[in-house]
Amino acid sequence: MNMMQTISAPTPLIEISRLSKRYSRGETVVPIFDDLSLSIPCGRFVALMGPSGSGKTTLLNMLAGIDRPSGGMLSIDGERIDRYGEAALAGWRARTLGFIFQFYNLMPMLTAAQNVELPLLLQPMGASERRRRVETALDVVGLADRMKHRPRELSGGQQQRVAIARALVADPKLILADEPTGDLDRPSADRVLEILRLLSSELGKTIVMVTHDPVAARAADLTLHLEKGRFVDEAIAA
Amino acid sequence: MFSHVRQVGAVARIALLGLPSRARMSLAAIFGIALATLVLLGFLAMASGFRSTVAGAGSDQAAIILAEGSPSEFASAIDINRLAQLQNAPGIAHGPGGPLISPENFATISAVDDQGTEANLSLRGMATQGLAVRPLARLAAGRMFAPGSNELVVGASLAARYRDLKLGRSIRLAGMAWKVVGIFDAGGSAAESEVWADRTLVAQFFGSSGAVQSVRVRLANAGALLPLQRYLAAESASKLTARSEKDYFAVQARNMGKLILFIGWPLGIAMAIGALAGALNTMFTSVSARSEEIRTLRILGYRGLPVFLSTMAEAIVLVLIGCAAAISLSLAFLNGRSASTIGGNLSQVMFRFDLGVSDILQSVVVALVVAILGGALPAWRAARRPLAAAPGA
Repeated sequence: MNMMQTISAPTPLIEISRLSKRYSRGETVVPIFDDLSLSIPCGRFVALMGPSGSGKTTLLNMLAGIDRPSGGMLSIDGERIDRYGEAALAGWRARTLGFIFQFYNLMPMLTAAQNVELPLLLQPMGASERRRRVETALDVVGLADRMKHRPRELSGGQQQRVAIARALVADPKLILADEPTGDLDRPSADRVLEILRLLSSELGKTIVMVTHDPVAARAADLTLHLEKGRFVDEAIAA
Repeated sequence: MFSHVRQVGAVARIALLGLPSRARMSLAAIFGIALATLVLLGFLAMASGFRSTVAGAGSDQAAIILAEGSPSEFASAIDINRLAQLQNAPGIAHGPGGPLISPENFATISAVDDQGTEANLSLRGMATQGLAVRPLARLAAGRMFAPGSNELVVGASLAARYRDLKLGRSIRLAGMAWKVVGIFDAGGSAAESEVWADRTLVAQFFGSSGAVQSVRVRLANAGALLPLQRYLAAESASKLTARSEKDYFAVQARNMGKLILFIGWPLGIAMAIGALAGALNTMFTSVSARSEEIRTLRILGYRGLPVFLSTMAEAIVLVLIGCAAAISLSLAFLNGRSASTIGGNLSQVMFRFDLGVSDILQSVVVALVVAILGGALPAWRAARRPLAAAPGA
């Protein structure tokens, strides 16, 4: 069955067609999903939900170019990343993608500003421009006064906001978030979700967020439910 | 290109700043390489010191005559009846008492050093002109032994280290007391590891009366060696050969230096292999500890090559710290220190450890080889590790 999810808007940023993924374990082939199609336009905030093993993390990994499909087409911002090699994917990620991890994944030995600067070191950009962008990104997440703090000097919520600033700083079109509120208390989670909404609504970022948290999903424009490798329904935020 | 350099710099900086969190493994690797480098430097310094000590014993104003085919004095035997013929040989300088010729032979004696350790030493029997034929030697204290007397003249290196061989002391050799009446200086060369005495007494009491092992002569001038060599070659009796003292000791130094390095290098390499195993273990542990950090950077868009190079940089930094520690310790505690080793006639030769720039560079090269071999495989693994694990893996 080919389940096509189209979110009505003129310019799709993400286009997936008949995507499949299978893993081999010895002689056994384990299908994760098969014949998956999806189109997400620019500027939308999409939550991806589903039980463990439904394939949502695998799908997110493919959108990030860190896992490869077994078949089908995967295009992001007009680039067929399913055809890219490792080096091309790395360059594409640096240009197009911001990634937010569940456990923040900040470098403990670097300050908040140095962590946020990391993606900019991949761009042809001078030091003063990098400094300006880092300050702006940290300002957007409300941490302009924490630039010189190291991760251990910040709360979990603050660390995740630094991670959001890092995902945002190179001005990517797509931000992927893997359970960004999964390790946070409710107030911190709400603050993070508020920022993600702002990035989508004010800055036009396309965001795909994997979450188990229905409250978090409500912050998105649209929630896609994945079960056993298939989209089962969708819910559009009020 | 610039972006690549910046990537390498950024990833290497993160790797190096993270070293304190991996302190124990890092210190183990540093210790391993420091130990291997210390051993290697020790042997290199020993070989250099020994070479310069022995090579420094020779002058081109003196020649040494040996039986043809003998590689060294210790393997040479010259019939004592040939000595009269050498009195008339060309190219030999003359002193007040006639041609400056010293027939010589060796015996091995034992003496106790200042630490109470007994060691074998070379006793050289020589003519009283033995000092005059040696341009590089001079009396530093006392006087030359008197002909036919049981008196000794001792090299300054030995006198400094052996309580029985200090000026004015006596030592029992071959059942009788021998008195030290002089100390000679030979510029710190291997000659200073000898004890000199009258040849006839040495022959009488140490059993080599029918032959001498070598004849040392003072050359009349810079071009005097060739006539002497031609004269000896023209003799119909068993052949003798002459070569300059400088050449003779250069060959001896080279041979002994090779022997030390023949032992030193394999030992150094064995230690380096041990250090390599340590470095590999450390780097694999480091890569494992940094796996999430590396994965994060690669997801941010960093390529495999900077990750590879940063891991290599970490290995090189650890190894260079160990190497620098070893070099510092060697320079502080080893370089210039006196030691002794077994010379060509199985007796002690004093020398100083001499750590040269080339020795240090050789140890750095070995350390870098350890770093590259120890870092490459873990670095390759770090750079190639899949970013996404299979579900449930």
